[in-house]
This record gives sequence, structure tokens and C-alpha cells, in this order.
Amino acid sequence: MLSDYALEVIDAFGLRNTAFHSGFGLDGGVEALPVPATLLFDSDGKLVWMDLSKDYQRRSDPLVVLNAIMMHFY
Amino acid sequence: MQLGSFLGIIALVLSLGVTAFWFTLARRLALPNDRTGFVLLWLVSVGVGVIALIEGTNFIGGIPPVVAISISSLLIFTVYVSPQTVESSYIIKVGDFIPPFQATDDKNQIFDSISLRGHLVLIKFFRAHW
Repeated sequence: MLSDYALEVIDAFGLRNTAFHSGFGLDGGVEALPVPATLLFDSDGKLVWMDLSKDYQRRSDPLVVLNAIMMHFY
Repeated sequence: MQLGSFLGIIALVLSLGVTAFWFTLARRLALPNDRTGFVLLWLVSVGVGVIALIEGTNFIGGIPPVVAISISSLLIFTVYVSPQTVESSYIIKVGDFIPPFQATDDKNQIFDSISLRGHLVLIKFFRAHW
């Protein structure tokens, strides 16, 4: 598990969430949060699958993620 | 029992029941895309709670409707503000290559993405504290 307090990784991926509930002063002064997202890269580093939540209350179903792994790599 | 107090208990039971079901689904990562049903039921509990207060309750009898109105209103608000907004000149998309990055792990060690080369990689972004 990695920390991205300075939001540098989020910005490198372009996943900074600027909506109302993001960084609303409730997270120790963090000014924004990431869009909850799951990304799958192949061994060449190419993104082959991505699940980007349209709202922060919905997260990737583990079965959906497993299915994506099986579909792309097996 | 006063009518207001009875309605207040109804409001609280409805609010807590819907909220409990909500969090059960949330724990299973099974919240539906369309949460209109939840919002409507919370609105009903707010309405019943308001009617309970209008009908009149004693001090103790006023607690359940106030709690119901508070919980339901809060959950409705969280649904209302839940949509994400990504404002960036660049958003990674399928076909792009992983951008180079460094980050700190839970042992305060620097992690460099260069170590991921040659491996299948699954990255999950979420908010958390430690």
C-alpha cells in the first residue's frame, strides 16, 4: 500500500477528484482525493482495463476485477 | 402513546432499516447505480418524522423522529454529493502506458514504479488513512 499525500501519483494518472466531497477539509488538510479506480496493466506497462467509478460510493466489485484479469491474461 | 410519538418510532425504524440495508450493500460493494429507491424511502422517513413532530410529542417521544430526520437527511445528502468530478488536462485511458511515479509505502520506504517493469500490474486508487 502506498501513500500519495502530495497527490503526485494521482495527477500523473489524471485521477484527481475535484467534486464537493473530495478533500473537504476532513482528511488532514488534503486538498483533493483520487477518483476510486482500478487499473490493469500488462507486462509492457500498457493499460488494458480500467474501472473508473462515476461516484465515490461505488467501488470495483472484486469479481469484476478478477474477470478482467482472466480475460486479458489467461 | 401519543400519535406523534408513534409516528416518530415508525420514522426511526424506517430510517434505520433502510440505512442498515444500505451499509450491508456497501460492504458487499453492491450498491446499485440507481439509488432512487433508497432516497425515496429516506424522504418518507423524513416526512413521517416531520409529521410526528407536528402532531406533537413529549421530550422523550421527540427523540426518535429527530434522529430519523437527521440520519435520513445525512444519507440523502451523501447520495446527492456522490458524483465524481475529474478535472485534468490528462486522464489515463486504455492503451496508455503507465506513467512513472514514486510514492511512500507504509514502512516509509520510497517505492519507484520502475520496479514494476516486466510484471502484470493491478493498481487500485482509494482514500484511506494510516
